[in-house]
Amino acid sequence: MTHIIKTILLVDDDHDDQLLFKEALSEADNSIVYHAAFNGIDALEKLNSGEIKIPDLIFLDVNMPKMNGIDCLKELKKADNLKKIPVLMYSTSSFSEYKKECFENGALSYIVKPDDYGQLCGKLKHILNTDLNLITQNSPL
Amino acid sequence: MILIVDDIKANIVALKKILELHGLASDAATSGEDALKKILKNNYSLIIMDVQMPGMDGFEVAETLAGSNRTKDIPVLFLSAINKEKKYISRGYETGGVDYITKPVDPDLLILKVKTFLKLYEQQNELKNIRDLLSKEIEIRKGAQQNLELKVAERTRELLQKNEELELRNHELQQFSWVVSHDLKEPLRKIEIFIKLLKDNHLTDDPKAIDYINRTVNASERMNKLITDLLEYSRLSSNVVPECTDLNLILKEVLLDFDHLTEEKNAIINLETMPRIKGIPSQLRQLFQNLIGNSLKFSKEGIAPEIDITAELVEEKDFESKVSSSGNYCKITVKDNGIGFDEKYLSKVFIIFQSLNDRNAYEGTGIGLAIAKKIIEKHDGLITAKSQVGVGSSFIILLPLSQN
Repeated sequence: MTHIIKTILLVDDDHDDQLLFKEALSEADNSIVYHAAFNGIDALEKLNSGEIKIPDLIFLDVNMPKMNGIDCLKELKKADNLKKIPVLMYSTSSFSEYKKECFENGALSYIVKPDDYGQLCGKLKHILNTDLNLITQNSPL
Repeated sequence: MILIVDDIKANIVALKKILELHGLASDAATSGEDALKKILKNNYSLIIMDVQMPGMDGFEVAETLAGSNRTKDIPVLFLSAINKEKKYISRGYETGGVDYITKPVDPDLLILKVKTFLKLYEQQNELKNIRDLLSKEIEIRKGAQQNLELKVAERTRELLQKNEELELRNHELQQFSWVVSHDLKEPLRKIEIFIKLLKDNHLTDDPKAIDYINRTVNASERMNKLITDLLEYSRLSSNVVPECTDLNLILKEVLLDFDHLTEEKNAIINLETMPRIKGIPSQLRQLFQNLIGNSLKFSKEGIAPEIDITAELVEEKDFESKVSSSGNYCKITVKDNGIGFDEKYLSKVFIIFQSLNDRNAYEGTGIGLAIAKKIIEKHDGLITAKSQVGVGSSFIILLPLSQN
């Protein structure tokens, strides 16, 4: 069964990236509901309090204050109600050490933030058209 | 000077005369006590001593002389008219005499003996002087050696300490440049994204504004490249384990990356079969990317770049080493027909930020060859270049097939 994406949560402390992501997402598919959190703690609080409904997909930045992406990922995978949400790591850093740790902790894929708005739109379109069940480390997004 | 010791004055006079005839100067003492006094005061090279004397006899004088460092080496020649028996002669030798002559004395024989003993004494003295000099010299050398050893030890300690400090600094610097490069990239990425958005979506009909924006885009792209290269350079210091690497595959990938540029410039790239070596694939890829990238970048205007990449095995880690199919090193040459450079700048081209060319004509950050050199050093290899302005450049690298 394909995983249909109707809501997306972006966890990113960078306001510019949030703005760009939001605009690119609406350009890619304006029917998708977009939520944002500013760091790991903020995301977990918003998810647990019900302020944000459980999303179909999470984009998770790696370097964030208060709680970074890797710790947040670990928390997400510990919680019964959250562990099934596919998580895509979303970072400017392509540093392989991080990547490895993310995959070890259950991230579905690791996406390096594109340097170009057009690329970002394209990337998001591609992700939305991909059956996330088929994503593995060996056939990344 | 010879000292004659005899209590009979006539004997002294006679002996003195004989010596004088042969050009030998002499002094005289008339008793054992008198002799000792004179010997303490003056330097004699031979003593001719009567045995039988009132007071201190010849033997006693000789024994006294033997007890003192200053006098023990003066040869003593006993001369006796009375004590001719063996026991006296023995005693004479025992007390340190060099000879024991009994009267009557043949003057010619006496002179021969005297001369022989004088000569021996002289030689002995010379030897002693030489020995003294030598032992002094040895002392001096020992001292110098010890001093040197101390200094070397001290220097070594200092150097080790400096080295440790440097390593620490180097590490800090690498951390620093990594962090700086990384954090610098973040705002730059935003500038690039937003400026491009502005250009693509909001500026369409103001040529001046478009020109300014284009310049901004170019500048930020240049900065981005600079930071990427810096990041790459500082990342080279981290420790990675070498693995068996097929350079054919590496070069294939690199050339694929340059596909677009190669086509655009109509470049011809001739590639020989490469060996497999023990190395760090990502770094070797970077190395060839930089070398081939340079060849494509620094091509002559209007002339299609032609790049020859050749490989051969050589015996030793030396650019002049003999070619050998069983050699342990591979020598790879990347030769182009580009603009070349003056070889007097050879030492400069591998230093970071030393870009030789006008930036407006040739884009470049001045890091590419520094990275190449660092990669080669990490692989315990060598890199050099040959070049001629207007003719082309050859970059020659030497890599060990296996890493220890």
